[in-house]
Amino acid sequence: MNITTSRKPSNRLQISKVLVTLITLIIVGVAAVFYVSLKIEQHALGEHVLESERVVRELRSQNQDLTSRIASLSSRVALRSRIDSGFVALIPVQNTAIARLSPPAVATADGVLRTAANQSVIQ
Amino acid sequence: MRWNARTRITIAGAALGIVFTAFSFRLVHLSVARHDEFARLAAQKNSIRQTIHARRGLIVDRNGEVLAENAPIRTVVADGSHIENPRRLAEVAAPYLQMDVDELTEKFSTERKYLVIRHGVPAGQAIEMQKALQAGRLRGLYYEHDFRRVHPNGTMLAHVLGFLDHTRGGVQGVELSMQEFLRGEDGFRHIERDRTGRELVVYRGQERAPRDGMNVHLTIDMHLQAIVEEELDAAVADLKPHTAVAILMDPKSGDILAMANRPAFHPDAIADADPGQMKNRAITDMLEPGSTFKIVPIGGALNEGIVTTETKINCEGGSFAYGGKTLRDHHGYGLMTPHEIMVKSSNIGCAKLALKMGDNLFYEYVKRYGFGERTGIELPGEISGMVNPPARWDKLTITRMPMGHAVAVTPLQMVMAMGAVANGGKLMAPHIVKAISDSDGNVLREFPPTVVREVINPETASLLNEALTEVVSPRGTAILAKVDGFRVAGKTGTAQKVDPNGGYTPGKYVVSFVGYMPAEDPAFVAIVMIDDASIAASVNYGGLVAAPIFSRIADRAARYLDLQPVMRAEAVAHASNTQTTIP
Repeated sequence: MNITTSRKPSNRLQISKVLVTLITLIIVGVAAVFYVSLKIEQHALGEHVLESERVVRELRSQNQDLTSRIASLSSRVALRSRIDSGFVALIPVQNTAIARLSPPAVATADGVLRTAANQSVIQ
Repeated sequence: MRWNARTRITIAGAALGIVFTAFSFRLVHLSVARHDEFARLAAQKNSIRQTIHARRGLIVDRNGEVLAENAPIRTVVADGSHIENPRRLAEVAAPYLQMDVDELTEKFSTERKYLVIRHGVPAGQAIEMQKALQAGRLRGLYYEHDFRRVHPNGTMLAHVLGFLDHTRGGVQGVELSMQEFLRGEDGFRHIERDRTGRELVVYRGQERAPRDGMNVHLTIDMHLQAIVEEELDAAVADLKPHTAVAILMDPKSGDILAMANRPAFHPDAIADADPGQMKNRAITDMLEPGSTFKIVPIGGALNEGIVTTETKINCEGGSFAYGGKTLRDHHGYGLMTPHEIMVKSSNIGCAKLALKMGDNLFYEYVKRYGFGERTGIELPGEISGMVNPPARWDKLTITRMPMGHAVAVTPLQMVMAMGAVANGGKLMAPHIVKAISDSDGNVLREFPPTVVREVINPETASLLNEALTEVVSPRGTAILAKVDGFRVAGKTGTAQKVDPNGGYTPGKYVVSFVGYMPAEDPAFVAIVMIDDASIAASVNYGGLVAAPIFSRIADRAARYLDLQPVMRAEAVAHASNTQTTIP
């Protein structure tokens, strides 16, 4: 009597190959997730850069605006109008109130461009 | 027919293979064969070349005082598709935009994605408005950055500074001549945007930073400029002339310390000015100089040794017939030395000196003093004046040109010529730009003093200096130019106005005084020129009109420059009480 088994032939589960495949998939998956998170991080940083640039631009703009206003307020025309309105007053310094530490330099001192001079009349 | 498993797998695999091959083929076709086409479409849609604007350089005076700068402004635009409540938005924005609420509501009730609401809103105001809109959670208003050129000193120095046109290009003055330095260079950045228009920073492409404009440092001293302008304003109010010009210059360096014109204009309100107000007449108008030109024949004749200080010239008693015409002096004089000819401003004496020199030599001295050629100052529009060569002279020219007729000069040429006498004989090149620096203050280029040529030797200059000093004395024609405590040298000029239709206009005069101070060591040379003052012709002389203005300017300038007086005030006061002769 020929004894035959009724069990169907089956492939043996090759655990090692499954593991390799799984690990490969996990690595690829993690790499993909990491890549995506990096891209998200990149975009978030980009937003930060944009925001920082906007803040810097606004600050520069404000600084320029304030500089411009200061120049206008401290200009001669503004000063003159304040003097005219009596807000500030200018008092000329009298000659007697000036202490001269050294006499002003004259052209003959530098010797570069000597002026047409008549020294005899200088008192 | 039943297909076994292998066959079914083969058919399924083949079908999938065909499908994927078709997709692959399409993919390759799109990404390789039509790459350029789609890349261009994508670039058009999402990539732009963003301009990064450079800041225009400042203009400052020699002490660093700001004369022209940039005020940031915003152009406010609306995106109608983002506006949910036009009325509410208008109520918040109206005070900042200084516009009517109803008018704004009407403008905001639009579906247009780009609508300019207002130009030139100050940056500070725009930022405040932005905060108010954010607080009210309102959308739809956006800003475009821009700048406006601002001149804090108004009309002061306007002709020198110039102004910009709508393209931000210089039109006149230093803004035009120094345009290459001032404007800088815009940068750029290639960027990509998402579908909402926001930039994707990750995909930023090529980028070049802007190079800000350089700062221009002028030789102008605003203290002196203010003095000159105030005195010129007072004179204009008093005399009501057609035009008035004053220049202050350092004779040793050629630095222009002040330059003023009347009428003037406000460079921030160009629309209100007419072209006549915008002309810098110090360099663009030529006038017959009158007697101030007498430094040419007297200096030339002395320098060439044709006459000496002792040579006596017969001034013919005030009437000299030559070439069929009679040349007259204001008073009749007899024999006079070159010194006396200058002091008394004798036309006949100068004519005879020029005749002794001869046409060609006299013409050479006219050119040596710098007349008939541009000075080369760093300002646009300078003219060369008009000096005809001897080949085009008539018989009378040699007697008319020495007294400042038949020749046309600019006020700047005249002050430079007098500067040559003041500094010992050297004609200096005028400079109005002292240096160029970058935005950090590092000096990149300087404009050093330049000697153009030696016009006369120092000895001749000294002789002229003595004569010009006596002009500003009771014996001379310009006693009103005196300044207490100082020796002033100078020369008056009175010339009839040339009629555009030929000849001269009766009763209309251009009067001037050009001089320097202190005579022994000049700190500045100045010219004051008044064209057609509304006063009686009998008093419209350089010695009566222009000399006092010079005196007031010089007096205040001496105080500012801390010049040390060398004469006692009483002596000058006594001298001024004596009889004077005005030409």
